[in-house]
Amino acid sequence: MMKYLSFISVMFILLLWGVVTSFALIDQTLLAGPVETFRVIIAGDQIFIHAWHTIIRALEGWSVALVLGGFIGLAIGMAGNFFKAIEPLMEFLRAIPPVMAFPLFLVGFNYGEGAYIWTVIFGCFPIMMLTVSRGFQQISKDKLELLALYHVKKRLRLMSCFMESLPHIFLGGRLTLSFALVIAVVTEMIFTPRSGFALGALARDAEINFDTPTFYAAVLVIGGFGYFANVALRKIHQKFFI
Amino acid sequence: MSKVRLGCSQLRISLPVFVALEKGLFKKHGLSVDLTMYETAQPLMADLLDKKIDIGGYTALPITYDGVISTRKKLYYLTTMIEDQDHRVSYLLKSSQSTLKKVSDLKGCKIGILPTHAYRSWLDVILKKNGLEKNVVIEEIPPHAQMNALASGQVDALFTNDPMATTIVKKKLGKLFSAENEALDNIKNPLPFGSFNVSKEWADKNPKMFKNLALALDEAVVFTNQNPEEAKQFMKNYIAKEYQDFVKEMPDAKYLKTEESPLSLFQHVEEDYLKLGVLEQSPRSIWFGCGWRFDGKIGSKLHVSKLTASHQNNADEKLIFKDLSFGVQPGEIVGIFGPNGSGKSTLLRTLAGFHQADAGSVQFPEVGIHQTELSYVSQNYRESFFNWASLRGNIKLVMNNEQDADNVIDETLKAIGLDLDLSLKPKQCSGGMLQQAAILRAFCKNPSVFLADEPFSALDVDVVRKVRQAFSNFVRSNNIAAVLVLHNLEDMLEVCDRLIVVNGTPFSTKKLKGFAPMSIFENERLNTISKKKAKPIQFDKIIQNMLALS
Repeated sequence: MMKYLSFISVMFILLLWGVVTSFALIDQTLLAGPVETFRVIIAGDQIFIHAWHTIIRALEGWSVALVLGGFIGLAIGMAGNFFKAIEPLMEFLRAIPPVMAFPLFLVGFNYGEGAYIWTVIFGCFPIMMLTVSRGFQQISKDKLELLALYHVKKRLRLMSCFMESLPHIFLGGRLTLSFALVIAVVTEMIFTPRSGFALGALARDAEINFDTPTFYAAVLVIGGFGYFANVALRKIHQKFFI
Repeated sequence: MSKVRLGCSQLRISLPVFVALEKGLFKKHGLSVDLTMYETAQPLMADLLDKKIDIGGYTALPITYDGVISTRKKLYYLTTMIEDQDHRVSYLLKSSQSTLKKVSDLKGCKIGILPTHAYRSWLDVILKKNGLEKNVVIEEIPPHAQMNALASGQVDALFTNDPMATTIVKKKLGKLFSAENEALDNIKNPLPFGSFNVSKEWADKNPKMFKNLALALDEAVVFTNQNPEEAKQFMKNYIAKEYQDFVKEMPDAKYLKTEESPLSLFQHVEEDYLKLGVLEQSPRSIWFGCGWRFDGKIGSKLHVSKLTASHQNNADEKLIFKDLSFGVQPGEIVGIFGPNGSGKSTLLRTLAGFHQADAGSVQFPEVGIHQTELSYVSQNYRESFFNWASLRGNIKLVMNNEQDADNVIDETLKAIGLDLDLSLKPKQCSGGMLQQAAILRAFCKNPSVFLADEPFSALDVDVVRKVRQAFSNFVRSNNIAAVLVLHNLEDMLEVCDRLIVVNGTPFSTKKLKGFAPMSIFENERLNTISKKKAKPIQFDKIIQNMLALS
């Protein structure tokens, strides 16, 4: 029964959504019906082109943040005292909403694609770095003493600590992936990219034009991607690290 | 034959090196020496620290300490040269016509010195003690120019060593400043003059060669001490021509073998040098880091001498043990037994080098012992396993993934007789399995010394007997010196040969009266107490019984 609970709950929400819109309990200009929404998704190839560009922007930024944050987090984690020294700065950066930095990146990258990608990096990097460095710092003293006592080669020591930190790197990756998508969509809503393909811009325009089915289709597509990506990463995490 | 780059100075202090070369002792021990000669030990030390040579000596300790402190590079020290009243090394000379009588008469004079950090700093001490800090001119004069410098009056006095000093005196170009030995009088008597040094990097890469080098040097030292005249003749091939006729006249030399050169000896010199201002900072943190391989008493594999340690809790410092001394023989199992919080684990961690001792030394006297030959099973053995690797992977990791690691693991597993599935990941294992794996991992390192904190605590009743027996057999058959922290009387009676009974902190050697052969204990009586499981173990009562029996 538990196995089907999530499926049943999704079905229930869809049913509720259908009932609410069919009986016009909420104005159609505020909430489109599920049929119209899915019609847009199924029939409209445009939405997937928009989604594709948004996801690529998010993934590009996320990948850079993953690699940069992972390596720098490891280095800082190893440095010990240095971590303590820069932790307040990183926490400060993490607290800044990435969207606030977006206008700067827009100007800096001449309103190009780089602005969107670097806003994602700016948002994801501190989270990634802090998660990884904290993970590294949590490697037990007993393990480090063991490596030192037995004169394990530096290369193997580093590899062992990296492998031990891998669950934290993965956790950082999971946490930041959905955040990367949010940042990509929000920045696209603020300023449409030159290519014109952007799910955020599509959703914003649909909202302005009272094209609620397209708006909700955009929400469902991006939410669906985030959900399935997270499920996939969680499965990998469970298989290899738990 | 293994090649090694050896450096030595053309001075008398290098005598054991000359002996080893002439008598073929290096060759005998499988070492092919590529020799570099230096005028003094100062450039020798620079090249050793710069990795231009692998081994070198002898160097006066101020040179060695200064080099180690300034480069933060680690060295191992083998054998010691001793200067005392009958084995002079340093000389303060004056010209033949000089009327100077006391060191204080040197006010306003020019003193020539051997161009090394040692002679400079020693002379500074001598001058300071005689109130002449700022009233003399000091000039560094290389060995080949010293005779002329003193004879020509370029300097009023000369502070140097052999072969120059004896040659100057015998050629009547100069004479001893006074009947006293200024170095011994003002610095230390007897004075551990210097040591033979080995770069840690080389030693760690070539443990067998390192061991063979120590054996060769020790043989040379024994020969030099026992046959001083013959040894001096060997010098002729290595010193400048003008000194060769006077080797017979030079004083006999005194050297200590490696095993007779304890850490405490070097520590005392260091303390004296710090007091005298020869050293500005201690090199101890550096040499402690590298381990003192050849220190300690002959016979025991682990020797603890006057060890003191404390715990720092915020501003409070709690003394855990003080002046603790004991040794552990090969194949012997010593148990540390006492109530919770008595400092047993701290003692073990101090022996392993994880807890910094306040004073005293932990020595691994067996020649060739490498720090990797020390194995340790922590109380938190669960935390010592990497979760990403299997048990086998964890063991291979500490073996640096050596080629034959799998064979060693399988053979050791068979020898100990443990029933373990090494393909399991740590998270798939019970506490008992991990504890067995931790013991296996420690034994796979082929240790000389084995330290373990409660190694049987997580084992099932039916498994523990088997593991204890196997453990005991393995330790004895492989001549391992083992120290175990134990809480269970049955474990203690089953495996330990001797016992350290700890009763409260701080404990010290004086309080270790229960440290006696297990055979004198009344095992049955102790067993009886251990079987009273309903009651907590009454340590005081047990200890009283033990003391009464011993």
